[in-house]
Amino acid sequence: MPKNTPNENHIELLQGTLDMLILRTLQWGPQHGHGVGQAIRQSSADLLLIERGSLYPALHRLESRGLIESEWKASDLNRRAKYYRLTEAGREQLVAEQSKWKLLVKTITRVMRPA
Amino acid sequence: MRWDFWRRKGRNTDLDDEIAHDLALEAEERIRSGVAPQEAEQASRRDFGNVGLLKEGIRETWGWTSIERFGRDLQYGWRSLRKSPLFATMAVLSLALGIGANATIFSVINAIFLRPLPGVERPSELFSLNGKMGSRGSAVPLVSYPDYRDFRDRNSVLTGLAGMGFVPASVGPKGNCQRMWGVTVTGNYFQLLGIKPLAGRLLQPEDDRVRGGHPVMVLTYTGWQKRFGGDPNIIGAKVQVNGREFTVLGITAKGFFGTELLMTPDVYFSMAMQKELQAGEDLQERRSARNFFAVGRLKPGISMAQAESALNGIGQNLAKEYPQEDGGIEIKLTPPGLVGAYLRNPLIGFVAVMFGVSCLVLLVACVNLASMLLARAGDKRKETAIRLALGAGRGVLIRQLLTENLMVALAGGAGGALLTIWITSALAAWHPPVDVPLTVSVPVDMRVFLFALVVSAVTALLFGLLPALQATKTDLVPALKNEAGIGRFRYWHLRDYMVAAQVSMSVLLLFCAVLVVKSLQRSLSAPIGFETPGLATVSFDLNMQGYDEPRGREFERRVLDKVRQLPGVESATLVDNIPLSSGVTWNAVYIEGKPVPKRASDVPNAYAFTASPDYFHTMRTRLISGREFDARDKQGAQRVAIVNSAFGARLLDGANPLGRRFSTNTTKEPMEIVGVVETGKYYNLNEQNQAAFWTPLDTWYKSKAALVARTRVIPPESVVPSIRRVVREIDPSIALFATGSVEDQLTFTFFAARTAAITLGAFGILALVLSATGIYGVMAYAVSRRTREIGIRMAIGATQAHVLASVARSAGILIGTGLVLGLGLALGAGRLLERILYGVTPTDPVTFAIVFAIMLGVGAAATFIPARRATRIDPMQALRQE
Repeated sequence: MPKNTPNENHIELLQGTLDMLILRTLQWGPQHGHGVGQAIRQSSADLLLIERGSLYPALHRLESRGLIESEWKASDLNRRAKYYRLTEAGREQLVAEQSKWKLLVKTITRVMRPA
Repeated sequence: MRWDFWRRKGRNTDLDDEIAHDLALEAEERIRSGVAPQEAEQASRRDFGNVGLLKEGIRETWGWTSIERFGRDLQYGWRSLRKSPLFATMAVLSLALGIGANATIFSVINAIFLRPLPGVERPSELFSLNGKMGSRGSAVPLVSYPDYRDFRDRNSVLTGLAGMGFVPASVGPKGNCQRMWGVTVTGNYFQLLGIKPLAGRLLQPEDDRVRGGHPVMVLTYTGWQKRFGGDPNIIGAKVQVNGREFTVLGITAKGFFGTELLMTPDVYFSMAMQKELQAGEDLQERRSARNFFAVGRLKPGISMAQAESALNGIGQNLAKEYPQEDGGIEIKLTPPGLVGAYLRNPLIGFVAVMFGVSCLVLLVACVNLASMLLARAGDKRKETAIRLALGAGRGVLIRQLLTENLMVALAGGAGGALLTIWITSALAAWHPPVDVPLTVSVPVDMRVFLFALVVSAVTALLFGLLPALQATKTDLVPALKNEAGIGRFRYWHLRDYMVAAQVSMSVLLLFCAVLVVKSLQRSLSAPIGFETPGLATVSFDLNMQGYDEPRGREFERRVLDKVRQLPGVESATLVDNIPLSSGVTWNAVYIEGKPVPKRASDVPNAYAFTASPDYFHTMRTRLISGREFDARDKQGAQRVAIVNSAFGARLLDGANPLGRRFSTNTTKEPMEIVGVVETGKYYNLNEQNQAAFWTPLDTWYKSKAALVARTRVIPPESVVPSIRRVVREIDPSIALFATGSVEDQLTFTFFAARTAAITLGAFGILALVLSATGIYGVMAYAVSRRTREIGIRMAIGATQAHVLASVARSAGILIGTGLVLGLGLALGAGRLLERILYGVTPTDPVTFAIVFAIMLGVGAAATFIPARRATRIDPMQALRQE
């Protein structure tokens, strides 16, 4: 199968940040897999493109860790769709990751600051 | 997790739906932006990436795929085995034989060494007390009653010590008595062992108070079933025992059969009745009469070694107090069950050798399996290469091959377990013709099954790993092109090493088997001091019929007279014990004129027999000098004895025994030696030059005797019915036992050698068959791989003889290497076998030659078929094939 050549404008996702992005997206309410992918793309102004090969395993991994839970519901187009929702544990995890992330950004910015 | 597992199917469809939903939304978006519907769907699919891979990755996060994977591997293995039924059958069969042989020996070990005594409370605390008297050198589980009493009363390390003695008795309702094996036990016996009654009550200390005053008995469950048909009214009933009335007190719980594994009594009597049950011979006050077994229970927290040293302390005091009887006594404690140390120690050695041999057989079977797996891996080379090329991991392939091996091994293990059950039940049905209540019971329990399971799993992994590693190390390109890899021709493949190893192990086993069989033949034909062919015998015990001495003498005289006149009988005699039969005893010997040794253990002894006139003539024992017993040796006549030549050499320092005098007891008048006969075997076949003496039966009345007749008829036992008729004419109530040919009666003597020969022979043949299939398999495979090469050779002018020679040469190298290696191993193993060999040296050149010839023959036969196939290869077809 031909490998997707990443768009020049696309940003490579930093290792370990996908989980945080998913949790953050689900903070606004339940969403199905496709919707999560679209939401990340839209809020990053099309710069972050999440591949399904990473997105779905990440969703299932988060679910098995109890950070999110799922439910089958009818979607907008009256289709059966699997909706993911943040659990209490997921909310706590998001807070923890966010502060870790802020610290990381601050630290890296300081290091990379022009002298 | 379990719940998840059962919901696996549901989760899989959910995943499918989730992905389908995503794809549908994606496609809709594209349609909305103006792409044609069909193209939109294709594009979104392309964009999505590999759906299968994604699903696999997600399933991985679910965490329970290993079970699923194992199930798939099993399915794969099953399909793959079904595709090659010949391989599967051969592999399962050879493993079943190997594991079966191993598990059978293990079940014997389990039955006699590992399993606790059944029906007994806390069996690990029990022990059997063995006494060792210096000069005999070996520990036997026999003590005298006074010694037993002293050990019991003086120690502080035991909960208790019970005494017992085996006695045959004539038991039954009046007028219908049969010989049963009984045990006289001290009153504490059942309490000490913790035995519960099935009905009634068991013997108690109160039943062992007054000598001769407790005519009571307890039946074992089997005795009750066998003799009394399980009669529920037996409790309290009066039963005849040796002509006296005894009351049945109770029945022991089912499953209890005493403390000896091989000797299972039917009835228990009180020790107080010992004198009455043994023909008025009171053995309870004679310190020199070592006739009793002692079984004891250790106090909690006391080890067997501690108890042994404590009891030896008592033994040293006894040796000081009674130097005549107990000087030099030594105590050894052993777990009970195998006649103390007497059977236990030799059995450990014997079983260890057999277990080693059966492991070797299993090894041969495993190597066979491994070489079959290698050949199979060769056949599946293309398949393996395709799977590797498609991206299957090597680990996955190895895992699948191992799963397949595990299936084969488990099937083989199950087959082996079935084989074990079959062999052991055949063993249990076998009743050796001996005069003791011998039972061979080898139950196959969970431990044996577990053993078979572990062995099969280990063999699967151990012997499957190497072939699996080899199989997945394929060079992809030539394999895919179906090339046989002519470019890199190697003389020695892993397979070849395995065949050589297999041949060498088979040679080793075969060598041991032939050696032991030859030794058995030798010992069967070795001079034993009498000629068994043509001898018939019956035994009787007149005490059990309530005969006193005068009546008994009269009976013995009349029977002998009448039997001597029977047609077909050349001569007849009476003897208390036939040499090499189970009852042979020995006696202390005090030579007149020699100082009496201070310690009992320094007194020399000799096998003692009592026989009628004509004994040596009937047995065909050569008289060297002096005379045979005759009419002169009557009751009250001058005391005489006949000795063997070893007696003169060992006890008289080589002087002429004729005219010398000796006694068996310092207080008795000595007997004069009137004859010297050749030395034979008396107790077992391995003994060398043992002293023995005979005293006349008419001087020393014996109530239990064997009548031996030299017959002119074939088979000799055909005169037994006429002897029976003669006995019935004199007294119809006499029960005869141990009837038949003397050769049959001596079966037990040859038991160990015979068992060893049969087992080793079976193992040897097994190994031979296995390695024959191994050689055949490897050669057939080699020929099929070389089809193209041979085709080319023949096309450029090689003759059939050339091809044959080429195949035979490669087989010859394998077999030859194995042979040389195996014969080298055999030289080493022969030394280990030396102890059980009789009359054969472990370096016997004839044995080497026989094994060499057999192995060569089998090897040639196994090579012949593939070799002939090679010569029939049609060059045109062979070349066109690829």
